[in-house]
Amino acid sequence: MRETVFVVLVSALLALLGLYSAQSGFNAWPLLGVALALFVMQLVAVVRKYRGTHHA
Amino acid sequence: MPDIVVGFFLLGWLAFWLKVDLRLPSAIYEFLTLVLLISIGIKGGMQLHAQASTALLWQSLLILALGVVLALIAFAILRAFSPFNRDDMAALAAHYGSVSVGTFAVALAFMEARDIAYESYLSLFVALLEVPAILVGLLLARGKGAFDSGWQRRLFAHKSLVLLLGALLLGAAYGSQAQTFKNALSELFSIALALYLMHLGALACASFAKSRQQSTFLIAFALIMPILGAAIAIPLAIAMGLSLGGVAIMAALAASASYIAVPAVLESALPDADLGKCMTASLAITFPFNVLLGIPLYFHFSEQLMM
Repeated sequence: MRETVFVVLVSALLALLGLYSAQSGFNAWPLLGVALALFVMQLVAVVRKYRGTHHA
Repeated sequence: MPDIVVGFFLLGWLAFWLKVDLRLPSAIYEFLTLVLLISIGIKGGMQLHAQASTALLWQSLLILALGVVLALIAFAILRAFSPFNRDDMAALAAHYGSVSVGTFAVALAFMEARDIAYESYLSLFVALLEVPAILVGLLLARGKGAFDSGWQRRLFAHKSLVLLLGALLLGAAYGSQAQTFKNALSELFSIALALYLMHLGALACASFAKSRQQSTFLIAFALIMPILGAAIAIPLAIAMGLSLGGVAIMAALAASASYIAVPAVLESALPDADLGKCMTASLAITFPFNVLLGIPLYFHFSEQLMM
């Protein structure tokens, strides 16, 4: 649970940083992509874990 | 477009992904590391010869403190959120409090490609940042028990630190007399850096495959530490009175994590720590992040804050 909270926080922070830097003219798409990829990876990990527990 | 040297990093990565191994033989990789360390050291030493001052002493003390703070922040994050054991947390903290010469060299190439001036004596800070994080890591793992009879030797007697400090001292001693030697090295620097990055690109791709087996937590940690390091280093470097190039390079330094010196020291000092985890985080995640995204981002924020 603590790990999930951390990963979601990091994803949010990277996304905010991307949005903020885009406002000042920086090409922030790669940073936003990294934030999204991290979030999706954690989401997949949580779903897999839940399904594993549920089936067991 | 990224710099051409960064292009070589991508080439190494892409080729490995396509199952073409562009990794260099270890002797050549070592030779390239030596060329980079000597180039960086001689250049920094020559500027030290011209600009040595008491202000530099204070700056050096601040840099030592930065190394300690970065390692402590990394450890605090790991302690609060990670499932890792104490040795692993301390080893990761030591890696992230220390620096990567490769990232530093890419940051220098970034500034030079854009004709942005920077303080060459920053290479002194690379050498200084190698040591405190290892000490903190050992203290966090073992307390005072970490300092057995051989700790000084383990800490200071590794090739990259000795070579960088040695080249700095030679540059500082010879000053402008070393100019011809420096010019010859400058021509080699870009080629050496390109090949070094190609090798690391392939190595990082190989490690990245392993990182997917590690937890997403490790990837998140390896992405947030460079941002935190840069966020601390940028105001510190501005307060130290560095130029725009100097501030951005300092940010890149604080954002980087060691993958040469620290693993070599911790292998014997913390034998129970999972150094594979540390190498995956620093080499497969943090290094590519800094090279591809971080350095331009730190430069952008340094520019914004200094305007």
